[in-house]
Amino acid sequence: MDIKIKNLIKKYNGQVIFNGVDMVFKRGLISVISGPSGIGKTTILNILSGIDNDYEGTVLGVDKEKISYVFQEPRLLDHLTAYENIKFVLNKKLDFDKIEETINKVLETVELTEYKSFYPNELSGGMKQRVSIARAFAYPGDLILMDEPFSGIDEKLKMQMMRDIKKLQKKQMKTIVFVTHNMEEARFIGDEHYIIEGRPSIIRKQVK
Amino acid sequence: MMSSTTQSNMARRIKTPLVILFYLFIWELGALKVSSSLILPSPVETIEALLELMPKEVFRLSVATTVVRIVSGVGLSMVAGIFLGIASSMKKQIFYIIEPLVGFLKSIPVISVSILILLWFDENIAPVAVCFLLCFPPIWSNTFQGMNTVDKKKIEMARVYQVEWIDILKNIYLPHLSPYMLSGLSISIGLGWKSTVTAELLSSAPYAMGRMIYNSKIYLETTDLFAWTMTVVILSMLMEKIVKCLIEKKSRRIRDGHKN
Repeated sequence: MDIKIKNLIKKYNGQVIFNGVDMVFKRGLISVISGPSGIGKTTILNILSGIDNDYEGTVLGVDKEKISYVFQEPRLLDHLTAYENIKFVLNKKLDFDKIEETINKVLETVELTEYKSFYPNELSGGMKQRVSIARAFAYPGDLILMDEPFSGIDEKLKMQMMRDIKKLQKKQMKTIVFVTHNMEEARFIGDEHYIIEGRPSIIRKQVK
Repeated sequence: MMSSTTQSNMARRIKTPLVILFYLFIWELGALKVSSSLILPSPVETIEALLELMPKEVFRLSVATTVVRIVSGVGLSMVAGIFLGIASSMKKQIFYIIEPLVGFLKSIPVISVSILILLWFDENIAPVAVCFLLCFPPIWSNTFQGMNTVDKKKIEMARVYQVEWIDILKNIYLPHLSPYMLSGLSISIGLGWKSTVTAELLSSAPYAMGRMIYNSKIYLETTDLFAWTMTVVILSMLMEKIVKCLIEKKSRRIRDGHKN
């Protein structure tokens, strides 16, 4: 079943952000939501993930226990290594033997195998974000939400990370909802593309 | 070549005894000037009195009883302070109930608390109760402050990934809270000694350092009074150091737990 948002009405500080919006995210694809800053892109992800419950409307096809989230900042725990940070979200979700295998596999895909025992303060900004991407793909979910994961990362690294995400997505066939304000990123990574504009916002679907 | 850390450690190791010697020298000068051990005994006289007291059974029993009272009072305030500090940060209603009580306990004089508590409890329990009431505020305040400064974004991340609350507590709250709790505990140990000894003095509790200080005062044994006071200071500092070491070790174990 695809993920559907139906008749979404969302107000923030008395201002109407969405007034009866519908969206569909197809299973196994990367759907990109783009639009200017402050338009409500992250709000959509927060509604899908359950972080934001203050809205009217319906969200269908989302199992709250099977969601991964790559935030704008890596949100790693400083006293845990890259490996342990991923293990932190996998404890009791996977069998003990499977945990190590899963983590090693994702770390290999994002080319961080050598850095698995490094602590966040020993990693660069880009590496930390790659750990958070690896964490999202290691998690046994079916939906990955990504909120501008490349902000503050240089072009060369960004391309490499986008390729990592595509590679992991092709392997695992997970559904990804990717938020960005960068149109180039949206075109490169997305299978489907929604553009949010105006206030209250309207959503246009762009055909690839 | 010596590293700057080694140099600063060495400097600290030399500096501390020098500072202690400086103050002992000032004390000795004062004692020489006064030249009456009834008013101000010299450091040497005090140490002699202490060495004389130490082998006596009453010394060992008094020290042991007072230490047990302090450990009980501080321990109880740790349990209550941490539990209510966490609860207050989670439920506003609990905060509204506890906050004025903490404000009241912070400003009430030790002597008033001690006299009031002595009206309600016997002389064995009263020092523990006084210690508990005075040590509770810093532990509660520090835990509450720690809870409010924890990185909410990391909690949000853990919740999205359905991490169990015990793992969130162990890996996000505890590593963040431990320095706050450590600082609360360190303040409480000093307060615990002061309040317990004062309550013991007022309650005339049997086998108590406070009672021994009181006895020295009424029998005009100023040298003994100084020796007992010196014991209180040394034990208080020692206890603070031991607890600090234990907690730091424990926090390190919590932090490193996931490596195994």
